[in-house]
Amino acid sequence: MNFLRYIASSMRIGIYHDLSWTNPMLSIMLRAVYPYSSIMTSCLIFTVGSKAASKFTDVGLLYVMIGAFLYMHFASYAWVPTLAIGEGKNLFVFQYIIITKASSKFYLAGRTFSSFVVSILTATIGFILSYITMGSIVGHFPQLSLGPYSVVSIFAISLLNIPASLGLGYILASYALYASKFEWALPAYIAGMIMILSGALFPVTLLPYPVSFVAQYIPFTEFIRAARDVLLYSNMSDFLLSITTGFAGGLILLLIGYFVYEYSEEKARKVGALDRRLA
Amino acid sequence: MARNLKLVAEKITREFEVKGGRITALYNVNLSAWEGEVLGVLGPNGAGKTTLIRILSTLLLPTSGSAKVMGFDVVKEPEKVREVINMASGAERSGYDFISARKNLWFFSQLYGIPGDEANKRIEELAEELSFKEYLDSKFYSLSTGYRQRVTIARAFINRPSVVFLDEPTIGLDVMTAMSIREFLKRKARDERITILLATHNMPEVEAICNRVAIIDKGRIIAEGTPEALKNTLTLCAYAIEIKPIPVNLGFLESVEGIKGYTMKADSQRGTATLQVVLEDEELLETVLFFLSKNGIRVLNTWRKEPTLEEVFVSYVGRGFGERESES
Amino acid sequence: MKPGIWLRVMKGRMMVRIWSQFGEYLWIISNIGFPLLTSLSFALLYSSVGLKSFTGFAVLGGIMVSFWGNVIWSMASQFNWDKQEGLFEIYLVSPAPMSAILIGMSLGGIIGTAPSAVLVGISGYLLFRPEFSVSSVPALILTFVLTLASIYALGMMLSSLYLAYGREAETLNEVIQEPISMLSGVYFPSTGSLSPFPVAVQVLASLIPLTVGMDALRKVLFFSGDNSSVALNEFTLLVMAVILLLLSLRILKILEEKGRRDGTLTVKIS
Ligand SMILES: Nc1ncnc2c1ncn2[C@@H]1O[C@H](COP(=O)(O)OP(=O)(O)OP(=O)(O)O)[C@@H](O)[C@H]1O
Ligand SMILES: [Mg+2]
Repeated sequence: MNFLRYIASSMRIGIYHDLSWTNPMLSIMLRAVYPYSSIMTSCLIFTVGSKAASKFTDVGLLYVMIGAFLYMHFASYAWVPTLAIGEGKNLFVFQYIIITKASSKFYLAGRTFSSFVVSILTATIGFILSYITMGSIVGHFPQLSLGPYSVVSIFAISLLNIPASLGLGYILASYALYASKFEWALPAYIAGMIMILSGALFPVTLLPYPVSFVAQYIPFTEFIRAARDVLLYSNMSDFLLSITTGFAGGLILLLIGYFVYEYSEEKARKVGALDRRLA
Repeated sequence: MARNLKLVAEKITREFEVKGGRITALYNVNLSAWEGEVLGVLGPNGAGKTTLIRILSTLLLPTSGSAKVMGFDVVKEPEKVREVINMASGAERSGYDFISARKNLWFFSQLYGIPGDEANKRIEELAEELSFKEYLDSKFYSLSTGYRQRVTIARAFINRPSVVFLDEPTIGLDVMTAMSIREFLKRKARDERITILLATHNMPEVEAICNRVAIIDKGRIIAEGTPEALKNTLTLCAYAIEIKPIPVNLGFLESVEGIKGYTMKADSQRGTATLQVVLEDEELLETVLFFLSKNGIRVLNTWRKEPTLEEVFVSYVGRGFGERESES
Repeated sequence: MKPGIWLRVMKGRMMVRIWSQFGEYLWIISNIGFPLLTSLSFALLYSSVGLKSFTGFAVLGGIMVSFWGNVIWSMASQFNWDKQEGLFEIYLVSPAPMSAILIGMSLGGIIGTAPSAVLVGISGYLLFRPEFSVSSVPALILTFVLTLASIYALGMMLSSLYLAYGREAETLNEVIQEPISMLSGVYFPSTGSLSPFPVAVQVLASLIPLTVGMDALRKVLFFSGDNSSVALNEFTLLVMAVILLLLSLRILKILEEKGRRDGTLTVKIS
C-alpha cells in the first residue's frame, strides 16, 4: 500500500502549493475569483443576449450557470498534471520525482486530487456568489431545487467525474513530458474544448454533426446533464443514467490516459526530455 | 583629482537591516583605481564584494561615504555614471533565452544607443576576442555555461565603458575558459585603457591579472597594494606541514605566541591534512611541531612556502579563506 | 540624454519581444487557444438564444482578449521576470530611458499578438458571419489604436507595481485577469443601455481602460456610432494612456530610489 502513502504526500504538496499564496482562507477566496468571474461572464452574456431577443427565462439562466460552474470545476483540475510537470521541469524538481521508485503517475494523481478538493470549494463559492449576484441583477432569485438530497447528488457527480478529469489530465501530461515550451498554453485549450464540447453553455446539438455526436457521449457532458437533471428538472431517472454512463466513460478515459502516459514516459526518456538541461 | 584616476571611493559604509538587528556589510572602505588598471577586490564569501560593486554601479546607496566614477558621484548623479560604466556578474548569465546571442548583444547595445552598424561591428569583434563567434547565432538557452558566460562578459564591454565592474566573472568555469576570459580582461585594460574592478575570491585569478588588489574581510579593506608588494611586505615566514590524522580542533595553536595565523586543508581520502602557518619567526616552527605532537598529531612532512596572497590574508586575519567562509 | 538613444532603446526592446515571439512559429498556436475557443463558445451562446446579430460581440471579444492576455501575461509580469533573470539591473545600470523600454515592450507585444488576434477574427468571421456596419474606417482605426495604447499603458503600470511585490505578482495577475475582462465587457456591453449592470457598477467599470475601449469599438463596429460619443471615449482613452504611462514612470522612479536605499534592486544571488 506504499502507493497510497505516495499519493497522500503528493496531495499534501499540492494543497500546500495551491493554498500557500497567503493564508489558506484568503487563498481559497482569491482562487474563487476566477471561477466566479468566469461563471458570471457566461451568465451575463446569456442575460444580455436573451433580454435583447426577449427570450430571457430563469431556467435558461440557471442552465448556463450550472454548466459554467461544472465545466470550470472539471477543467481546473484536469490541467493540473500538465502544470505540475511544466512547473516541475522549470524548477528542476520533476527529474527528482521521475527518478524515485514510485511512479510519477501517483504524484500526478495526488496533485490532481488535491486540486479537486480546492476546486470543488472554489467553484462552489463561485457558483453561490454568481447565483446571488445574478439574482440581484435580474431582480429575483431563480428557483433551484435545492435540498440535502440535491447537494449530495452534486457532490456525487463531482466525485464520479474524477476518473474522467484525471484520464484527460494524463493524456495532456503526456505532451508536457516532451515539451519544454507551450505546455502552459494547454490549460487554455483544455478549458476551451471542455467548454464547447460539454454543453456547458448551450446544447451540444448546436454543434455541427460529427462533433455534436461525439460531444454527447463524453463524460463531462453526461455529468453536466446530470447536474441539470437534479438542480433544474428534478428528473431522477435521467440523472442515474447520466452518471452511470459518465462514470463508465470516465473509467475508459482514465485507462487510456494511464497507458498513453506510461508509453510517453518511456519515449520521453529516449529523447531525453524528462529534465530541463541544467546550464 | 588626478587626471587618470577613474574611480574613487571614500569611507563607504553600508549597513543592512536584517531580522534581529543590523549587519555592516561594508565599513569605511576607501578605494581608488586608475585608467587601464585591473583592480582586484579579494575576499571570502560574505566579505562585502558584491555589496561594493552594487554601490559603485549605482544599484545600491551607501549608508555613508561617497564614491565617484569618472568624476561623477554615484549617489547624486547615477544617470551620468551609467553612461560610462557597465557590469557583469558570474552568478547571473542574463539573457533572453529564445533569441540568439547576437540578438541579445545587439539589444544590450541599444540600451546605450549605439548605432546599428557600429553595434554589429563591436559584436563581431567581441565574439572574435572571446572566441564565441561560431555560437553567435545560437539561441541563448542552448549555450553551455562557459559560452553563456563569454556572452555576458562581451555584454559588459559592448558600450566601450570607461569602468567595468565584474563580480566573480569566472566562477564555475573550467580552467581553460577562465584563463581565456582573464587574458581578454587583461588586454582590454592594457590596450583600451579600460578600468576594471574585479571582485573575486579566487587568488590565482588576482595574481594572474590584477595590477593592484584590495583584500577585504568582513566589510573592511585590510590590505592594499600590488600582489607583489603585498607578498613582499610579508616578512613573516610561511610553512606547510603535512599532518596525520586530521585534527578536529586546532584551537591550541591560538595560544602560541608568535603564530600570526593558520589555515588547514584536509584530504579526507588519505586521512591527512596540510596545515599552513604564518609565523613571526622561523624559530617558532619548532614550537608548533612540539604542540602538534603533544596533541597526538603526527607530522609527515614540513616545507617552507613561497608566500601567496593566501598567506597575506592569513597573516592579517589569522585564519584562511576556507575557515572564514565556514564561520558564516 | 543623447538624442536618438530613446528611439534606439525603444526599437531594441521591441525587437527582442518580436524575435522571441516569432522565433517560435508554434507560439501562435499556443496564443490563440484561449481567445479562439472562448469566443467560439460565447458566439454559440449568443446564437443559442437566437441572437445571431450579437455574435459579432463575441468575435470582437476574442480579438481583444488576445491583446488583454498579452498585457497581463507579457507586460504586467515582465519586469518582475526581468528582475528574476537579472535583466532588470542591466537596464538600470545603463543610460536607457525607462519610458523607451516600456513603450518598446508594448509595441513588440502588440505586433507579436497581432497574428493570433487576426486569426481569431478571421475564424470567428468565417464561422458566424456576424453583421457589422462601419461608418468610418479612420474612426475605427483610431479607436482601436487608442484602446491598445490605454490597455498597454495599464500593463506598464502593473509591471512597475508588481516589481514592488516580487513573486506574489503572478498571483495578483491571475486574480485580476478574469474579473477585469468580465467588468469591462469584453464579450458583452457592460456599460450603456444594453448593460446588465446597475449604474454604480457601470461607473466603476468605466474606470478600466478596457471598458472604455470595448464600448467605443462596439459603437464604431456595430452601431455605426454617433460620432460625438465615440470622440468622448477616444479622448478618455488618450487621457488614461498618458496618465498610466506617467504613473508607471513615477512608480519606477520611486521603486528605484527605494531599492537603492534598501538593497532590493537585485535578487540576491550569493
Ligand atoms: N540586501 C541585503 N540584505 C541583507 N543583508 C545583505 C544584503 N546584501 C548583502 N547582505 C549581507 O552583507 C554581507 C556582504 O555580502 P556580499 O554579498 O557583499 O558578500 P560577497 O563578498 O559578495 O560574498 P560572496 O563571495 O559570497 O559573493 C553578507 O553578510 C550579506 O549577508
Ligand atoms: Mg558576491
